[in-house]
Amino acid sequence: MKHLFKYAFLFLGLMLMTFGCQKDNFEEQEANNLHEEGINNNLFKKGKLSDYSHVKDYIKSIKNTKHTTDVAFRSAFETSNNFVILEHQDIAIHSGDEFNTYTIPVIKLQQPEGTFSNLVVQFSVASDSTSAYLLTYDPVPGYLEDYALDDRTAFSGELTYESLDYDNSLDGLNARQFCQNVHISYCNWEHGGGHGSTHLATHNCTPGYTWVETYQICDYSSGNSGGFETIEPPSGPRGGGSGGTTNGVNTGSSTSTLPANVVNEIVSILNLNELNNQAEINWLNDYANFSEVISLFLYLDANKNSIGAYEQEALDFVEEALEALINDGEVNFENKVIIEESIPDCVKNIINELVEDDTFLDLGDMPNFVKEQLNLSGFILDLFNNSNNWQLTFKAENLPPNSNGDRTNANTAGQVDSGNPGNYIINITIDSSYIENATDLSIARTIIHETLHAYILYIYQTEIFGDLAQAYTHLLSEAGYPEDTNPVQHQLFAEEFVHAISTSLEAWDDSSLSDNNYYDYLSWSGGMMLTDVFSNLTQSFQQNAINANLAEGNAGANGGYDPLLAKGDKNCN
Amino acid sequence: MISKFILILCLIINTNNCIAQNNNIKERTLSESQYEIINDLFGPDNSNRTLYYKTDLSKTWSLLITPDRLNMLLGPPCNDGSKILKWNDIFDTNDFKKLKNEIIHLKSYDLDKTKLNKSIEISKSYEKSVNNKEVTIISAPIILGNYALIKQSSFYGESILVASKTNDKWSVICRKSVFQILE
Repeated sequence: MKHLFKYAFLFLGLMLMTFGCQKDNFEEQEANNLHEEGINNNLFKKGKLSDYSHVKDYIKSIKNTKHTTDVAFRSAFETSNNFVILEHQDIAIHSGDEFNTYTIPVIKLQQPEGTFSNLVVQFSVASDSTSAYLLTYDPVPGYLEDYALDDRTAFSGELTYESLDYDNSLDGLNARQFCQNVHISYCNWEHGGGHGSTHLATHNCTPGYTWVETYQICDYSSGNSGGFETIEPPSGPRGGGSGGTTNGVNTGSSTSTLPANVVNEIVSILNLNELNNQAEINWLNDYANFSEVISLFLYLDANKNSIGAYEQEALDFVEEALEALINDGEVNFENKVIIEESIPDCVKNIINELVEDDTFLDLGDMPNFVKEQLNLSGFILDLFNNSNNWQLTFKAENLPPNSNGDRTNANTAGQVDSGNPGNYIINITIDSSYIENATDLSIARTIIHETLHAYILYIYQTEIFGDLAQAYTHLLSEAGYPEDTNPVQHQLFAEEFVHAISTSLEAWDDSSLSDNNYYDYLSWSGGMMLTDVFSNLTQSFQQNAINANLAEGNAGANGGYDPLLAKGDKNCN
Repeated sequence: MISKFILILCLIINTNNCIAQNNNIKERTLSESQYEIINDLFGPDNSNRTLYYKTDLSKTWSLLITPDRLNMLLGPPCNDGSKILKWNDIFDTNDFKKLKNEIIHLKSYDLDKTKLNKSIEISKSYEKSVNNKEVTIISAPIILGNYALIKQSSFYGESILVASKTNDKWSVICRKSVFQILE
């Protein structure tokens, strides 16, 4: 008897396991053939991408074939197709006799503000052919809020179509057509029975109450006329019919409308919760922060390791970036530079111009090349872009007097990121009174000067056997390893970088000054003017450098720029 | 009998006090080796370093004395100028324990001007010195064989120097900073 029970349990267990294993397959197979009326309409379904093997394999094949050169900030897959799939969000499936259509929420790398996009993949039932394209929805105001309350809300707004980059390795992919018929299924069945208001067809809709609207839209990127299609949800059925078509045949070609829920993705990735992260969640949910939220997500997606997990450095950076953004700061995701909210717009513009100028220098050891090249600052900031564990932040505050009791225009502080072992923070702080007093030309010079300090800190640590780090080490040793490394760094500036500072400043200023010697004068500042290199310059040059610095403005009560002598513009007041 | 016992007891107590006092006197000065390190590191010709006249007795940096924590600090890894040195090439686990213990028991010593190179100034103030050099406060060097550890701090930063002795000359093999300010 005891053995009988044992075998009965074993048999029961095996039965359960067998049915459990088959469940997924049944779901997909049943969907093609179910046409019966009823509240549970399996023609329209929602679920996770990972639950549907057909479309999952398709997406995987695109990723695998296009991921081969994934070494940069953006993967080749993203660059080729310009979107990222939101893998944690539900996808929508419409199954029919001719097609199985999957609608997948995605984020485009250049997602227009206020819009959302869906990847539509259609598998033909009768053949191996597959088509895929992107739809971008620009909803009317209030749509997203309504959708959040009821996901059956019919879309209203503009719809654009975009073909996918054709990939020869994908048999049957028919993506390069310029115009596309987009089918959207609507329903007007209401609880309690009968016709009601029009909404998107979902699994709750009785097939007899569904119908399809067809919109022809053309690829706006192909140069064809057509562009977007304006969609107004119909007020009632055009002929009605079961199964989603007018002739009673359910083709399975309807797309759904799935606004991308990027916020949930970020909340999930960063493990945010309402108890401890209410401010972060509120900020993420604010539509005004649309473009920054997209940037946060795209940055995370671009920083996954080989097994698809997010890099710890990327998570750390995004957490810091989120904090800065909540406090009205600015984040340059590509260069991983944080500009805190304390920096006024006039200075933000200067930093961004220096950061975004792509006239980068060639990498090399000893900076002889630096003397010959332009945009020192862009080059330096690009180094921080390529580093996973160095964070550069700009901020403005009233700096206390230095150990001489003097006011300084700015300083650069290198420190260990105590919360993240192995990570380093470099804060460039610009004195608030200096921002009020100085011209743009002077501020740009100071930013170049301070980023050069950041550069030497970085190179000293990361390339110790390089010529520059060795030259710096030699100077430190000769000076008896002072704790104050300013004199040594300024000596290096004076010996190796002063011409590069000048040419970088001139490049930033588009050589607008008729007297380009003025850039040379301004390239000398602060501790550089205490070096023997400066003392050995002609008396007239030294005086011109001092005069230029005074004219363009400095920190402190008496540091105002001289409107008569300054050659730079004054935009910060 | 009792008075003899009391007399002997007093003598013992007195003698012990004297020994203790002598030890204190001995420990109030840095050793010749420690001056050697200070002169080699901070006193090359024309370096013009200015040191605070007493050594630092702060202890919190003992928390940083593990290979992992030292690696986290700013500054390049220890090296001999051509190759990187790992921590276990320099100090073994026991050495790290000893270093921590030495830091915890650091005392403040007066720096003796007569034992320092001429290029090193002594200042009784943290204000900048006559030669306009930043005043730095250093810890007493902690020596373990051919390696030594020393902490320095000033207005502009705080760092731990690791030095090694080669051919009777001490030189820095790495400088690990907690923070650094540049202007």
